[in-house]
Amino acid sequence: MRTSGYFDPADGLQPGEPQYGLYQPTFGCFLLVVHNFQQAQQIKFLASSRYSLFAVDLSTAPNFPTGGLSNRDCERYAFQNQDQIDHKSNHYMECPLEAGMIMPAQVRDLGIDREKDYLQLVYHWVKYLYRMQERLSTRRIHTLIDEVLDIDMWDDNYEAMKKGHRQIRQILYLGDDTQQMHQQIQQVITDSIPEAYHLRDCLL
Amino acid sequence: MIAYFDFREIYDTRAPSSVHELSWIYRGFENLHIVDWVSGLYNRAGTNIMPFVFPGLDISGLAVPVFDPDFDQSWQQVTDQRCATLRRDRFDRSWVVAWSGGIDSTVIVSAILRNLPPADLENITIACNKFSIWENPRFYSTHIAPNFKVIDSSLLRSSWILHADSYLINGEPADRLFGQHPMIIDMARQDPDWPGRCVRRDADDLIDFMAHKSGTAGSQWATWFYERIMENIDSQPVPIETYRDFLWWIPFNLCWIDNKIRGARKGPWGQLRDVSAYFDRVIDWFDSDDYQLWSMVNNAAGEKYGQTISDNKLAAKRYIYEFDREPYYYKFKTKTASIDLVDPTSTVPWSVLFQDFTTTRFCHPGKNDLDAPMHDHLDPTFLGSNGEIDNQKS
Repeated sequence: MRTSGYFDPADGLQPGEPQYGLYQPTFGCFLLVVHNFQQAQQIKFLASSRYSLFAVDLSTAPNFPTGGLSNRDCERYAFQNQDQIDHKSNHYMECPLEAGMIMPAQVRDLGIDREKDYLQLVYHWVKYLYRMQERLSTRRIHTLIDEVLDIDMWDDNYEAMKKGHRQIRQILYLGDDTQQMHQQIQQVITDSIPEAYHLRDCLL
Repeated sequence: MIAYFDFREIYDTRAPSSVHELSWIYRGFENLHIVDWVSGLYNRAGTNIMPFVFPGLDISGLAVPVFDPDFDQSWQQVTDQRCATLRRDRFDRSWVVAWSGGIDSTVIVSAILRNLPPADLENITIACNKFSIWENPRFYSTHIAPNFKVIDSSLLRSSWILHADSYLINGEPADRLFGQHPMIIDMARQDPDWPGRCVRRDADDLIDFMAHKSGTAGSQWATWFYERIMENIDSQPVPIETYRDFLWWIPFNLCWIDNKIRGARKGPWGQLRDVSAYFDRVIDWFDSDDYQLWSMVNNAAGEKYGQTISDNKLAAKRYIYEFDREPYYYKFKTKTASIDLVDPTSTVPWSVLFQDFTTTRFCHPGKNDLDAPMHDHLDPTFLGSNGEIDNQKS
């Protein structure tokens, strides 16, 4: 049952487009699929206060389906190369695991719906932060002008935005209830990042 | 006296020829990953199966306690009692608890918070780093930050720890109480019933499994290893019936001493000639007779391990959960690489630790006069006269 309202199936891939599955060994299945490895890594780290996730390159599987897997039912699948999972060095892995074959999962249901809902919420806000980070790169121009011409006259809310993003990551990292996390994040945006307010739901 | 060798170092470099002849044994151990570091395999109970003479067995505190099949204390009782005993006997100095965020050190902090009054916490400091917090952030923010002074654990790598008027408390040797969980999971992946199979009646599959895991060392090594371990098992009273028991017994019996003394070689401690300070000041929380007795009678499935990779050290996890009610850590925590609290680069290759626990002599094999004592500790029957070993060697 989804409670937070966030959901991106992440399916319908174009030919050649990659897809990464986030595999949880205790559940024995994928809990989320995404298109972008950097985003997969960020989700993995933010969820690490709950459990380990391993990013698997699904596109390398010989039986990778056209259009990819979907977040609607990704928990039905596992992958063949389980022996690549190294719990001790997961934190340091900068590359995805190769899938081998995509296999049917033998799932242990320890509350999968709840965790899929949580990861959808994280996924949404990781995409948001990713997009906002691109906008923040314009900050370099402000910094250059400020430094070179000694001008410091337009406040672009940079510090407030950085603080807001830090608060969002904190909520995603340590939060428990997804509804509550959703409300807290909305509040952060309203209070700290007013210029980004119009973007808050654009990815829903 | 205990001769304490770093087999990896000996195998890789400067090996005296008689030791090199034994290298196939250690290659098998290493490939099997039956211990994390093949840096010390010392028999504590039963027939000696290793190629060393073991006067260390006589040193009080290192031998396996007398088996008690009726021991009925729970992990919780043993842990709470351990905390009370240390509070009574070793609270004349402040405590520095090395917290990695892992299960063992989180048991220690949970026990302290469960059993000691708030006033006592002022005498206790937690040493950790950001990796520790990352490993267990909820516990840190809820239970450590509000209750303790916290210091950067890199201090433990410096001479600061030698001069601090504190006891350093660590989570050794909890891994040896719980045994070889990753191998049992590997085994259960092939067949969930395997860990419970009979180590005698179904020996062939166990040998095949170890042969496969041991890589180039192969089936001859696995057969040799199985027979030596069974010889040892049959010579002592602790019942070893299943594959699960077998894989627990090896680290419990053979790797305990390594865990007990490896810290004395590392970091600032390794610079000391007189290591009595190490044994006086460093407290291995899980080294008590009661923990060992608990370990000997709790090898049934569900006490130490379950079916998945996160069903590890279950009794210890339950203890933490009863304290912090944190379901994610309880359900999902797996063993991760702790960032070593002691600088591994300063490890001394091998050493000789004398009977009274006061003096060590460290040396590099092949470089100085301690080569001779090292040979003195090798069992002559292993030095090439045994045809089986010669075959393996070739």
